[in-house]
Amino acid sequence: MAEATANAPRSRRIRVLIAKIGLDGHDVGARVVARGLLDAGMEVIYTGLRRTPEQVVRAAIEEDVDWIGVSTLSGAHMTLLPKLRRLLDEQGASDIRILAGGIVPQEDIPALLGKGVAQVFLSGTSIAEIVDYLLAQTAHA
Amino acid sequence: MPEAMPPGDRRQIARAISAVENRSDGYQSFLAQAYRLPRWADVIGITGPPGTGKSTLMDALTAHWAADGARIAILAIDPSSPYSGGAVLGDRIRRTRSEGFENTYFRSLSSRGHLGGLTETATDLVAVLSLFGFQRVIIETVGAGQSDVEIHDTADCTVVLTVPGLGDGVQASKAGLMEIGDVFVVNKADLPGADDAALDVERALAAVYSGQPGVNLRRDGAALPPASRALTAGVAALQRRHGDPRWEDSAWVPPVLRLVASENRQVPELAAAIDAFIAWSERSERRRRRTRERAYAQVVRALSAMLLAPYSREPGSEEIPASVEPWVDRIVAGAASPLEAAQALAKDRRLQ
Amino acid sequence: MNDPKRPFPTDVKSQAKRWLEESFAPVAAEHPARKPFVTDVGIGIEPLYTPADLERIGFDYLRDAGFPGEYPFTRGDSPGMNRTEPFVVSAYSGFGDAEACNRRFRKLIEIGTEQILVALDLPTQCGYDSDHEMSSAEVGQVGVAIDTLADMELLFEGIPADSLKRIGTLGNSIGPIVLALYAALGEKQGVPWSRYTVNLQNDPLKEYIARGTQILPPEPAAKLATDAVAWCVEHAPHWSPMTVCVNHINAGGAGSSMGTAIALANVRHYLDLLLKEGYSIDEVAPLLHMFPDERHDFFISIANLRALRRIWARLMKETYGATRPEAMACRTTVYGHGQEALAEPLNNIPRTAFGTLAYVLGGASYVYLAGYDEAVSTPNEDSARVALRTLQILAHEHGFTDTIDPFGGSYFIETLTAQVEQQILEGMERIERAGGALAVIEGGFGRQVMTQGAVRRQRAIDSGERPWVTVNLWPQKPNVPNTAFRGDPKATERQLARLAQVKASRNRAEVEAALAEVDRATGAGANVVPSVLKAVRAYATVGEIVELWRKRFGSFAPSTEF
Repeated sequence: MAEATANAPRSRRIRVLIAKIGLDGHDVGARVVARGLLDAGMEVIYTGLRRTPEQVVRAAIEEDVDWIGVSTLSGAHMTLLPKLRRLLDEQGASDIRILAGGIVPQEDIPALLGKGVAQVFLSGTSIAEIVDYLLAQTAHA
Repeated sequence: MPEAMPPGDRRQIARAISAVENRSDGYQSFLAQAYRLPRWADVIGITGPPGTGKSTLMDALTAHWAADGARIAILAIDPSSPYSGGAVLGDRIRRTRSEGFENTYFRSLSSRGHLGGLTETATDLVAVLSLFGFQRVIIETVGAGQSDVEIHDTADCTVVLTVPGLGDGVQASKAGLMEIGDVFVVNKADLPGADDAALDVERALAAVYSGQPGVNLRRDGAALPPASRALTAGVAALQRRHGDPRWEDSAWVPPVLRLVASENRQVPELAAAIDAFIAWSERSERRRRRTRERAYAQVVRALSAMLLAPYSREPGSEEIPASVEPWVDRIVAGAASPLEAAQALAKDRRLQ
Repeated sequence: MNDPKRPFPTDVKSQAKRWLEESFAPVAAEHPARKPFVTDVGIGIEPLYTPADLERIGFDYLRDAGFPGEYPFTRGDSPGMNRTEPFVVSAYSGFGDAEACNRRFRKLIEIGTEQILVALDLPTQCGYDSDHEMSSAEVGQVGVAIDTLADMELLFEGIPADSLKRIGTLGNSIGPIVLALYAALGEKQGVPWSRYTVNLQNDPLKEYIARGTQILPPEPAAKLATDAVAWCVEHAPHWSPMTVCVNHINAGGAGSSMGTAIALANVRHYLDLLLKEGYSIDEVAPLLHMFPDERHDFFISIANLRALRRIWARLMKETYGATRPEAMACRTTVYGHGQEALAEPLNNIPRTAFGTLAYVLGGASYVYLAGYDEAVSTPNEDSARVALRTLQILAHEHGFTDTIDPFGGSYFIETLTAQVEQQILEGMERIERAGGALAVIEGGFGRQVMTQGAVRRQRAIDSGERPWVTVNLWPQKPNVPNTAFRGDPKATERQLARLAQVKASRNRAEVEAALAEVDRATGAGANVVPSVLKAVRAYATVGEIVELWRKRFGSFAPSTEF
């Protein structure tokens, strides 16, 4: 009886913002991941293409997401992702964590993890792996 | 000058919304404060079938109002999966013009999984946003399904959208949208068939209303134009909302506007029509009546939740609660009726 | 015994049935089915094909296959095909600034490239100059930065326009501008237009659903693209200013059959615009090329090319009333892929070779091949060379190009061709009912089809139904090698400096006047290419011209349909 528990805390859904930063227009991978997260019961907010880091941060804060998944394919990750982290921290959102998905050269991964990206999922990673990671790592899940 | 909204504020608002949505983290104190406000934000509901450009219209309206400096919030509601409960909330994609204003705020909501129902949650969110100084809250729904229609009971003005070429222009009537519209809009009016679409809506309205679009006043003893002779329940509801010419000094006839939201054409006219309705709604006491209805509904909801709590299941559990189980056993064994069970339980609680 | 009047032995059908049930089935029963034998497009593959299948599909050689270069062109768009001259060995290349890129081009030409398609960086493709704030971090990343004619001149220094069989670029949302740049390039080099051939992709409609470099809303974008085609009809009818694409739509999830249907709907949209301008089908159809794509299934790929040619021929003749063979013959460009994986990149060499072989055997005329590391980055010199050598091997070794349409008449391939053709035609009908090319974009139909397909493909991989070596068979951790191409930050610096220099030294008044003329022509609905050409000659920038169009038409607002 939903009514009867109207005032009880509900099990809070994991909210993920899926973002395309910069000019790259390939978002098929992002959409497949979004669909996978939906099937796992999460709420996914999709930003659309060509967002600036500032727009993504604003969206993440307004939507109070747990994670930002950035789809990165065009090689601009080493500049855009640290900038995203910096803006989030400056605006009091250090608890919103960043995931990178797509194409990242091996040697860039440690650098990204050091600059505030929580995890990198290379193109081809199974959806199940990403879902398991989010379920395990989200504080309130 | 648009009002500043420093990042810290934005975060606070977001957190408050989450607390209320999830019923966590001190949400009760937010609500208690909100209910002490003298006045809440104006709620504008925007609804219509998919493909009618609601998101673009919302973006244009928000930008229009935000330019004057007021704080405007948008709640975009998308359906969630009936299987997993998850959702992809994609309305932000259209947030282009309004994003340029710091004094705007956009939040995506899924339609399911809200304890107490979507309408309750939306009402509480309006309360919280009012607390943070928002003057208007625009709520967008898909316009299909009972709960979507229900939300618009709580709106101070509901805009119903259609577009040319949707086939039957009065498709809106099939979804029950004709009964909730205070202002009707034919969007994408630059497409062929716009005139026909507008005419379809006007014809449907003419069956129930007579008079000029907008406010109709009784002058010098002359009667207001009579409403439809056939007083069905639907018409009665409309007259409550828009004025019964038999006893009232003024009545509202929903206007039908044509606009092209993507080019910002006629959007100021829509904003003016919405404001006109809200103003009329206040003058004719309707706003006050609605606020009272809402308060009543919420008391009843809260009360029933409290009273039923001892007899309710844990979310996700399939067990019948111990408080009720003995009675269920008796009913199934043919030894009692459900009504007898209810009476006995109520007596225990000293409700009878 | 066989009746000589009947083309096929009457007992093949029953013999085939007997074989299937009595010889094959028992053996098959001893081995668990190793995968569902269903192709990516959904066509099931039988253990064996026989003349009975040809009879079942009603195959008529003269009507359905015919001869190369003759209606319905199933076996080839020209009489000679690979036999008289193998396909054109082509490279898609570009990165950094024009200076760095020029060096790579020269190397490619040295080792035998016959056609170069220039890869432009994302800012250029999206209509932003290198100094625009949207461009930072992306200048020279996935392609070369081209801001003005000066960059083109540098890019082709020492490479006369007529030294290659064709030169060109994609320029999907900036078609008239890149056309003008290539035309002006010939002028600067002293090579008349008649002496070289320009090839442009210039297909904005697929961008909205499949590639993402769209700028303006679809209707004005399509009109600008057809302006480039119309200009070529008048001034350079041997150029190929538009290549309508399947590949991105397929890669995005639609599958090759539905992808072809969507691409053909886009073709129809462009043709209808040109016919409305008063051009005849015989004038414009020969300037359009197609870009088919199938990366998962070798034989489907061959069938797809053959079916596409047959459908195109019938469409041009029966729907549009074409009479010239050039209008009814579908010329194809292909880019060889093969379901590349991220782990052990060298494995992608045989994968892409096989994928490309299918295209060669299917009769594609202009062939590119993905670098083995292309899944991860712009190809480095080594992978670009291997790709080129692979194309040369396909063209000259093993006898792949010795005869035309080698699979023609095969029970398997003719059956598949008919089945693929059926799928494409059904797709085209569905799109017609939904409202055509624009409905695919604005109604969300295209995105839906692609997302559904992409999800289905992911499930097929996750479940093992589609075997993928090093991914679900002998799985390895994906790895993006450190030899992946890295942009040179100095190139960005040079580009910005050069842009500033060009802006400072050009005739400002001339540029302003030319831009005003572009704006006027655009507003009047006239062909924009002549005025864009004038602007380009005066060293107006790509961004300056696009900004005029953005102001006039607005930017594209995508559907919220997920």
